[in-house]
Amino acid sequence: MLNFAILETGAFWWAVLNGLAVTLALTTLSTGLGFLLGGIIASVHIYGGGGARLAAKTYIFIFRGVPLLILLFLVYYGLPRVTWLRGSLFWDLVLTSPFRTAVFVLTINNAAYLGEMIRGGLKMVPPGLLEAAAAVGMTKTRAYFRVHAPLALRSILGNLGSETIAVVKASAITSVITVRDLMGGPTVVGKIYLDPLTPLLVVGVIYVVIVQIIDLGTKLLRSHLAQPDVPQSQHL
Amino acid sequence: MYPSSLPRAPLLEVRNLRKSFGSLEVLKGVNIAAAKGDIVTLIGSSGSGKSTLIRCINFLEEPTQGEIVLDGVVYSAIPLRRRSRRQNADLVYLRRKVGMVFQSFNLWPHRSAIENVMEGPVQVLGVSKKEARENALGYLEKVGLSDRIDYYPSQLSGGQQQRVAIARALAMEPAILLFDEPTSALDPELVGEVLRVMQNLASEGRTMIIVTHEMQFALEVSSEVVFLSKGNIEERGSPSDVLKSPKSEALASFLQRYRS
Repeated sequence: MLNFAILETGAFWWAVLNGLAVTLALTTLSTGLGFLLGGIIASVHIYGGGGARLAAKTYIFIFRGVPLLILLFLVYYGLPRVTWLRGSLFWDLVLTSPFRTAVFVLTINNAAYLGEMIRGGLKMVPPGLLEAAAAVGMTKTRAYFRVHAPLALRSILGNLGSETIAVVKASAITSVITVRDLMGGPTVVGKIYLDPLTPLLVVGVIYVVIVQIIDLGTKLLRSHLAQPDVPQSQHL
Repeated sequence: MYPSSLPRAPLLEVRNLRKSFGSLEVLKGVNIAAAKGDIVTLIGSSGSGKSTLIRCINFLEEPTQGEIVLDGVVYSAIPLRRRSRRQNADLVYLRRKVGMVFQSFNLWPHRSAIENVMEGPVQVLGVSKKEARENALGYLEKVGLSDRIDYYPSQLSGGQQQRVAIARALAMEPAILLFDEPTSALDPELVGEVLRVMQNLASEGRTMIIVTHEMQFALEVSSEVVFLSKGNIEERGSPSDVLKSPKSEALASFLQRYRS
C-alpha cells in the first residue's frame, strides 16, 4: 500500500518549493536566451548570404536532431574532459555548475526549435507589407524591427506557448545531471524516505498546473496582441 | 522623344529602362518623363510590363539597365547585390521622395489607420509623434476617413484601406506619387471613392504616375497616356489622342476589350 507519510515532512515541501523555483528559472532563462539566439539564427537564415545561411541551417539541423539527454551528458560529462577549456570563461560560467550547464544545454536546444519557428513566422509575413515599409523609405533594419519582426512574433504566439510548455516538461530531464529542479529535488527526498512514488504524484500535479498557467497566459497575450487579420499559424 | 507639349524640365525621368527576369526581358528600353504637376498614366494588358516599370521607379524592382532621374539626381541600375552602403542610402532617400500606393493596399495590420499614416514620418523623417499625429489627422481627413482613425485595417473596407494607404503615402510629402493599379483589387462599388480621392490629388497639381485599367479616369486626369505592349512603349500622347484614336493595331484591340 502507498504510504503518504512523506507529505508530513518539512524537508519534502521545502524541496518542492525550491524545485519549483529552479524549474521556473530554468524555463525562463532558457526560453528567453533561446528566443534571442533563435531569433538571430532565424533572421540570419532569412536575410543572410550563402555562408551565414548554411551556418544557420547546420545549427538547426544538429541541435534539433540530437536528443536533449545526449546533449546534456555530452556537455556535463564530455566537455570537462577537454583540457584546453579549463580556465576559460565558458568553463567558469557554464561547466562549474549543473544548473548553469542545464541552462546552457536547454538554451542551445531551444534556440534550434524557436529558430525554426521564428523563421516560419518571418516567412509568413506577406512581402507586400515589407515593400510598403521600403516604399516609405525605411531601411531594411528598421523595416525588420517595425514591421517584419512584430508581425512574425504575433503569428507565432500560439506556438511559442506550446514550445514553452514543452520546455517546462523537458527541463525535468536535467535532474539526471543532479539539478535539484521540481523533478530532481523532491525525488531525492523520496529516496531518503524510501518512498519513490508520492513525490512523482505531487510533482506531476504541479507540472499540470504550470502548463495550464502558461496556456492561459499565452491566450491572454494572444488576444491582447493579435489583430484579426494577422495570419496565425494554426496548430497550437 | 518626349512630347513637345512638355515645356518644363522634368521632375522625374526614366531613361532607357531595361528589366529582365532571367532570360525574359519585360522592359526593353523604356523612356518616360513627368514635369511637376504631370499625370502620366500607364496602360497595357497584363504582362505588358507596366507594373514592373512603376516598381522600378522606386527600385522595389531592380532595373537591369537604365536610370531614374528625380529632381536632377541620377539613380542608376546597379547589378544586384553589388550596391555599396552609400548607394543603398541613396535608394532610401529616393524612396522618401517617391510615394507609392499598391494594388493590395499593404497596410500594416498591427497598426491602426492613423498609426499606419504616422509610421513613415516618425520612423523615417524623425518627426515627433505629436506633430506626426496632427499631420496624419489632416491627411486622413483629406481622404475622407476622419471617423476611422483608430480602426485597424481588418476593420476597414477595401476602399477605405486604399484611402488610408494614399494618406500614408501623402504623409511623407513626396515629390511624386506612384499608383500601381490602385483600384484593381476593389469591389466595383468601392472603386469610385478611391478614384475621387485621386482626382482631388490631381486637381491639387500633384505629380503622379498611375498604372490603371480605368480608361475613363485616365481620359479625365492624365496629361499623358503611355501604352505599353510587350515591354515597349507602343504609343503615347495626350489622353484623347491615345484613347480615342489609337494608331497601332495592339492599342486598338486593347481598348476594344475595355469598351465592351
